[in-house]
Amino acid sequence: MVGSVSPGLPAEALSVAPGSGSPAPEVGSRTGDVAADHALELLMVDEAELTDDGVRTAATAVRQAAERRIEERAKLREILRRIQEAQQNRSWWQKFCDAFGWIGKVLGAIGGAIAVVATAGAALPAALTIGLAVGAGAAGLTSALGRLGIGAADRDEANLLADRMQEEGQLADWQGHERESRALAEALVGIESAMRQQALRWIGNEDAARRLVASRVLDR
Amino acid sequence: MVGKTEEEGVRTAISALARLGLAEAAGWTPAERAALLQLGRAGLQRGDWVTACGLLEYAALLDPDRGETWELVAGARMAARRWAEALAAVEVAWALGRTWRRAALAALCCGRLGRTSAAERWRKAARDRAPDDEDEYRRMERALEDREVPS
Repeated sequence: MVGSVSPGLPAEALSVAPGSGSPAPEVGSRTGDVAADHALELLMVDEAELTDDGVRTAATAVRQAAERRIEERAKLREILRRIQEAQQNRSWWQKFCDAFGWIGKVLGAIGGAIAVVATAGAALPAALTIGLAVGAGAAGLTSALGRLGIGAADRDEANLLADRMQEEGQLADWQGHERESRALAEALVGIESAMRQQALRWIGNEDAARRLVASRVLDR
Repeated sequence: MVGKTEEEGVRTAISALARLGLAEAAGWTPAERAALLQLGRAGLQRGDWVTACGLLEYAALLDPDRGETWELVAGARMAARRWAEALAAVEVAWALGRTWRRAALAALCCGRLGRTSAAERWRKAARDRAPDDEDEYRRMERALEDREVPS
């Protein structure tokens, strides 16, 4: 399957499909890079080819979910409720607090997330900000870090600070820190909302590509 | 390679994020999340790396404890030549479960990033977990033999 041309989407659609930033493939290569070709071979080798119908059905399902109107405040309330639930379980909450910086790092590993949080200008808790900085630094997202106002030197300092805070147990006691809980919830909901909008745009592009292909076929 | 402390931290963070149930709060059913993943795969199949990256990253946010999704995020980023970001995603996948495939992907990323000693350690980690299936084994070896100098 890997190496084949675009199962599920007619070849003509490639010229109009989104992804103009994608590297142009070399002859005999799927991605234009041997290592990336190997990666896709490892990941997609047993992948069943998606039919046009399958992609359309999936796009419809995702569009419906993405267009579903759930108030931001309702999402926020729900996440805060779950955080409060976690707080009631002391041992779990302790683990949660210890992992706060790591949550930032995991969010940093989700590429789109860090940019959204960075541009939102939200007053994030220190540990989460450090986690985001470390995560984004590891992922090479320096422009996002720049928006966070964290340069290379500051990043090293942030790493040291994270270590020191963990060593000194300063991350241990987050109970009663309503502001931090709220900031995390707001960051998560903000990231989700931004990624939802972007997903809708991509699906819209795909729809446009399909309509164009369909109209070309009808014109023949 | 990822240290044990870091792996444990990432696992705890993933568990905490999963427990917050962002997907449910945002109104995504499991079937709709599966469809999102499927669209991301479709993007990979047709070579649309930008869309594949974005949709798969979104799927990872909604279901952060699915190592397979992180693997796919890594694959899409590798295809887009975003090696450092790909490695970050593989490391999350590795923290969620150690497999030869994840180690091989990390070796490929490290190779492209010019981190030769880390790449070698990842190659060893992959071979230590080599698959029994002959075809899979051959594919793994083909991938691990890639030592092209980064451009």
